[in-house]
Amino acid sequence: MAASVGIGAEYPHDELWDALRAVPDPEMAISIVDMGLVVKAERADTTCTVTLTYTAMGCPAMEMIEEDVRAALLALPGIGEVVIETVWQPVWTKGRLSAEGRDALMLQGVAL
Amino acid sequence: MRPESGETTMSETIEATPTKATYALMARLADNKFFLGRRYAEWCSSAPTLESSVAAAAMAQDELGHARAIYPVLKTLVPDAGTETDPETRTAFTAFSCLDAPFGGWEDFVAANVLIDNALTLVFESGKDSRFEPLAGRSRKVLQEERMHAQHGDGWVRRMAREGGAAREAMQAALLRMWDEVLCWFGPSGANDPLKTAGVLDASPDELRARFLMIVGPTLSTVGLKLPLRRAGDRWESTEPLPWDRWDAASYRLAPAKPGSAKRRRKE
Repeated sequence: MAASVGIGAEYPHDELWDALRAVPDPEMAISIVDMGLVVKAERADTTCTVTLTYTAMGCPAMEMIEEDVRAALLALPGIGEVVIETVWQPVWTKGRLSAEGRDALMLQGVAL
Repeated sequence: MRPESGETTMSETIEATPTKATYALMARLADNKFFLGRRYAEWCSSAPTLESSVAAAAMAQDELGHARAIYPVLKTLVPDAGTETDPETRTAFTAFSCLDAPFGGWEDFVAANVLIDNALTLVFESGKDSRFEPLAGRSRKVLQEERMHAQHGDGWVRRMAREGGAAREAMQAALLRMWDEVLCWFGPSGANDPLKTAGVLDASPDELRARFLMIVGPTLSTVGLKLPLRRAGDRWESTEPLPWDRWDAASYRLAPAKPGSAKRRRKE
């Protein structure tokens, strides 16, 4: 897993992670990958398993994000099923933002 | 050792812990989070200040989120519990009696914030390195989110006490109404606590009570609110015996004091 402390995390580039980069965070104008919500993404044959965390346990956008994740991955060739798991460890902190995500948020006037 | 990613190893951990006691613990954490969230939410537009209304909304969202994250764990512990693992269909709630009805005033909100919210957080603190991974895996996030709740309660109880007059009296009465039940809620004294023995929590009920008094004692004492507690060296202790004769171990709450009893008169 990518580092997640201080200067911005780095996340992998493969077909799954790049597809997830197209899923926007509903509240911040960056992707859920840059937001640090994706903990793990794996493919086994036609099934894709994605592990997500959220900025808050009471996040009202969880279902919306899961729907978008499912749609983005099912659009990939050969994917027939998407399993989404939620974890609360690692705990989301600003350290999980990617470097690109931090830059984008700061340009939007978000204090970090 | 827990997986770094937070993935659960439930089959291992549940077999290694007393399932019934763990189920009861997780159920009362979820139920109290659920009802505390509902009670907080009722003040989203009617708290004394705009800032505290916003805080009430944020805290309600946090509590409901915590409940939402805990209820699914019940299904993994007792798969045949059926509708009892969903707050929408659950009937056997185990929440504090003072959360049964909407708060009577802002002082009740603050008292619940200081006493109930802190008590719940203390149990998550005790479970952050739990051998029961579903508790450990949720505790760190809960603790992260609860920091603001503790600051809010601390700030408001000081403000209400320093206000003096009716505000101070109402604050003290509200704290007293909840005091006994919160202290009892950590569980009866006694050796061989199954949750500590199994490593689900790192403390016994008596140890949790002592930690709780260490958290709330200094603030309540500093502002001069009169509650049955005192400093004893580097510890804080209750000055009155707890009403275990009214304790219901199934619902984890106290039955109301009988009319005319000394405790009831003190709180009226």
